[in-house]
Amino acid sequence: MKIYGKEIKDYVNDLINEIRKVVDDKVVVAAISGGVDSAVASYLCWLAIGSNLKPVIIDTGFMREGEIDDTVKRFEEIGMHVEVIDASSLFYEALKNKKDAEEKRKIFREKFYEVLSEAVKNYNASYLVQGTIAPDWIETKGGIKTQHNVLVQIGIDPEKKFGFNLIEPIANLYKDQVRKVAEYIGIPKEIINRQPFPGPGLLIRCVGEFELEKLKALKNVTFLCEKYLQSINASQAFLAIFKKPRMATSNKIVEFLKETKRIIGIGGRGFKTYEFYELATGVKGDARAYGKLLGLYYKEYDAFLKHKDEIIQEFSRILPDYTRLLIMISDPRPAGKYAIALRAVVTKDFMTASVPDLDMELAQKIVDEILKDIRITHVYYDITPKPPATIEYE
Amino acid sequence: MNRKKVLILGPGGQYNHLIYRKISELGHESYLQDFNSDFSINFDAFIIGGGPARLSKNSYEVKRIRELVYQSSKPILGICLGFQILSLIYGGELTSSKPSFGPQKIFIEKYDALLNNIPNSFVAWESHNDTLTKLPEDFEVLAYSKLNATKIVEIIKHKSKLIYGVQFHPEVDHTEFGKEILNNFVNLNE
Repeated sequence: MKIYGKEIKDYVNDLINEIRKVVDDKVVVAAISGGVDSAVASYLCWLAIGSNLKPVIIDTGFMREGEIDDTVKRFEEIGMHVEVIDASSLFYEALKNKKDAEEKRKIFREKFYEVLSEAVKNYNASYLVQGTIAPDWIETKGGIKTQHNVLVQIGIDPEKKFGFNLIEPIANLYKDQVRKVAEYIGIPKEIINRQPFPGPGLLIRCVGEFELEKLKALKNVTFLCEKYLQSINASQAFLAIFKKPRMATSNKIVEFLKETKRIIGIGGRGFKTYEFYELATGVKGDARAYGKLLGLYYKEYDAFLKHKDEIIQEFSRILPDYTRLLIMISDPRPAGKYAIALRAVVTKDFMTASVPDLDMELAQKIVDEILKDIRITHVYYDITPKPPATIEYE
Repeated sequence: MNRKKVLILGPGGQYNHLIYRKISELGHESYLQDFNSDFSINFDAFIIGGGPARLSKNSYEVKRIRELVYQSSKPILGICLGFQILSLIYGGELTSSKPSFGPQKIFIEKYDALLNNIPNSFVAWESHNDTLTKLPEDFEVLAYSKLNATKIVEIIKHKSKLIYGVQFHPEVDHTEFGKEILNNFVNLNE
């Protein structure tokens, strides 16, 4: 097996030797998230410098139910003790009522490194190791979205700003390559196969204004649907929460609906269009697109799913201000103040992503679970690939 | 197979590092360089990658690559923005009314060494706001996609030089036969 044309054994040995050379006898703090990227980056350091590595995990308050405890247990299995730092009230306070996606991500990043720089001081460490990978710095540098773990690549000097230097052993790798390295060095299967979960966690899945109630509702439905989300045939499947959208139309929306009806070969009435209050991040022609979301309702919604590629091309052409098209998979009910979007994608490297076909029976089970929460009124399936959307909404 | 030295010039696009990855995985010496820094012309092949710029014929990107085109006789491949840069150098024209993002069906019109062992239609992924409407002089169309009844140019080739352009992204994992197209390109001079 090879990484960039090099045997994996040599590739890993070179990384470990490089870390030893750089770190020497200094202390290193590792920022663990529970995902495979930070696991590989820290375990490589562990192999290089042993107990001079101090792994920590920050409880940001945006993790899923039980996530912190599971992660700590998994790392115990490979001999690493992880310190939990509870910083949830700090994050909640700083993010309350913030709406703009980039503002939320930047505040998250600031708080994240503030907490880590405290940990670095407490351990008297000189370095922080983190699991930044290629898409992180490519998207941050390209201005698509601010990933929380990218500093040096966009000209921020961590030593000056936060008092430590960074080690990013896998910054050149994509997810599929990281997973190969993970397997080779013996990271537990549960961590390797875990679906990616963003650093800012559920914060960026509470799309638009951040409120605690919205977060609670999202945590609840995510917990209710967990086992069904795992059984969707996807590289990543998750839920996001929005304010209940309003019915809306415009000349352009009418034109788009007309094209859609032509594509699916169904005319007549029974179609509804909804406009969301929030904006979502997309990537069009290598540039960031922070655009509107359109919801589409027709009772037999699988007609849309069968022709989704064609519909999306027309959507991008006719409605350039939009970045997402969501198909309603529940019947609209009047009660409730939030809508939930189910997002599922298929991808190896997370640079491009397609939307898998949805098993109708499974979809119905997910809808039923979600609507158990009376705060929810609509459930949608997002059919926008990357590009023009990104995988997460913010 | 000879190991080739390939220079990738990246004008700030999302997938340029993936071009680097794919060329390395094909067993070649791959160099990814920032578009703005000086580069040597001592390479076996050149790839101009994608980027967010919206071009006109006087754009900086066009001027910069025009020099390369005149100085080197080695194969050159333009991808996405790179395709548009090469088109503008040779008098092509772009429109902003036909953007394309995500999967698009490509139909081959004329076979060429670049398309060895590629079926006559396949799905490729795109991400472009601007689209070629006038073919550059001395170029021919190798493949197109369809927008309703209109043909959209997807692959072009210079009639006498080893200069190619593809509007879609062969370097992304979702493009079918993308790696084969890159492999064919790097081996053009064999």
